[in-house]
Amino acid sequence: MVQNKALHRVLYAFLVILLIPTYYPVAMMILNSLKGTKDYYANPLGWPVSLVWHNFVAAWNGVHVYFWNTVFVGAVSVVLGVSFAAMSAFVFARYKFRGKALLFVLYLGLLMIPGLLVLVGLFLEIKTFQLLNSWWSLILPYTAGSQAFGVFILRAFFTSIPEELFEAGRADGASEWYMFLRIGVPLAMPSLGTVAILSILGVWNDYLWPTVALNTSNMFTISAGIMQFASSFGVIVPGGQVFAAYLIGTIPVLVLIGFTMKYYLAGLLGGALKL
Amino acid sequence: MDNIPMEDYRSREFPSAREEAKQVTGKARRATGRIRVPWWMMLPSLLLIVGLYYYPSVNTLYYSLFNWNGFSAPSFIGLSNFASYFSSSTLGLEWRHQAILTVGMMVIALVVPLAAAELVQRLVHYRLAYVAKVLLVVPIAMPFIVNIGTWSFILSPNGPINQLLRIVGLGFLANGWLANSHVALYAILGIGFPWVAGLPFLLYLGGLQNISHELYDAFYLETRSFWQRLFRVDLPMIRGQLRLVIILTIIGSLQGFVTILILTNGGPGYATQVPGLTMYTDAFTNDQYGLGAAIGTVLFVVIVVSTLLYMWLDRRWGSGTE
Repeated sequence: MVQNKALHRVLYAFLVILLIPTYYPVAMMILNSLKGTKDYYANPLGWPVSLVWHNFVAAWNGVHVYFWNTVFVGAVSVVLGVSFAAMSAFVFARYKFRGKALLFVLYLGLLMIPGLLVLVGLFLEIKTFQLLNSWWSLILPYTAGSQAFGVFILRAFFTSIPEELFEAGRADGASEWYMFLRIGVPLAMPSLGTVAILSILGVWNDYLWPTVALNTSNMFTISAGIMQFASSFGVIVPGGQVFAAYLIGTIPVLVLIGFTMKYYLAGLLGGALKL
Repeated sequence: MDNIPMEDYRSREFPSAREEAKQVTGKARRATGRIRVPWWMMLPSLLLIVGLYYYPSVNTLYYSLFNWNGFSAPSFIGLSNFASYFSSSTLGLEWRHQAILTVGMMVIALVVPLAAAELVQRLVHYRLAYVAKVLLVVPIAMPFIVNIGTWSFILSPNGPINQLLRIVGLGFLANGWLANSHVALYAILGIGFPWVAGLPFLLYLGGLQNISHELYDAFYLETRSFWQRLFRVDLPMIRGQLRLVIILTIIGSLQGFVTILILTNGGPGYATQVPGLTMYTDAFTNDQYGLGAAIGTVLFVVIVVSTLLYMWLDRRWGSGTE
């Protein structure tokens, strides 16, 4: 490794130069979220003249419906999505049977199907089954959405469990399902957590699909809902409240990722490297 | 894509465990009979991916041959949707915009996060390097919509960029960045500046940190040139990561029309119109589902062909240099 003080000063300087614009939008969002409407227009960049905490009350009143919608849709689709992915991954990892490679190609093939190709066809399918404007129109695609990376990540983990554990269970007469629940699932908790985090973020960050599948905004999830809230003011946006809503949309994600950084990064890289 | 162990993973990773398992299996079989593969456990997952990925994909291909407004019965019109898309007046314009965006995003994703990863890797203090990494990565947590909303303010006529330009006496450069048809497309490329917080940075840094110190030390004896090391050690060692970023950027840039949908909806005029947005507008605003499906099909073909083309070039070019 190069040991050179002058070089290191330059490196630190570059680091600071990178960090300032990286965090500027965050700082600006926080400052603006506390400004009153007049203050915001007079002075969109500087510090707030007085802190208007009421912005958060108004923003919460505007987006709490979307927040609870997201909690509901997210909870159902993450529980279903992670469970189904784990069950499927377990079979792929622990059993040998004819046609297994062929079935796994179905999952690999998902990597070749871009969302663009699915979008119109999925809309027409949901429309044909008359599920538009229902919770199913969100829950079903989100549950399916976690299968590809979920199966990749969990199969890799289940493969790493020593066979002896299962043989011991089998010798004691345990059923395969029982061993999945009592040996596989408890050991896989960190990987299951990783898949759950990625799934929740997928639901939280999705703007497009709720606006396509739902024609009234009262069932929107948070991303579509915040945009709805921001544009509901028409051309003149009372900036403070909108930035407060942005902050409300950011904080839960920041807390989630903050506490689970290790699993989140593992999932992000694990999912990507499977490609 | 070809490095995923399929059938022989167990023999590769646990040769001894496999041998043991064979013996134990023998015993277990005598005790409890044949292992019954719990097929049914795969069913929900398989139904979901077939029903909500494969079926809708085929659906898109199928309806691209129909004229359908969603109410009256769909009528078969052959390749007319494709014909009308390829003869549309904005076709050349929107693909030109797409090319600018794809190339721009590619250059950004290959250069900036790599420079940041090289920087972090060179920080000698381990703890400081870790803090720098975390600080540069955390903004990934910003939800997409919040990022877009914040940047629409940053780029607005009274936003921070113009204010800054006026302060430093460059007020004549101030612009309605998204409202001026000459700069709007490039302003969209600028979103996310300095473009470090993201998957490419993590991939590059992970790759660079995997390079052994022995290799660096050996190379250091030969030359101390930064560029020599970059091109002869670092880049070859993270070729897999670069390849992945290139493929993800091709796909991501073609699918990235949602940013444009929210910020400019293709405007002003057609200054930021892209194929993905045309697909969205035709299908969901104009209720011409067949036409939307046809454009989706075209985009799918472009994604597959450009990915395969890249992989082919990569293999030829790669085998030439090694």
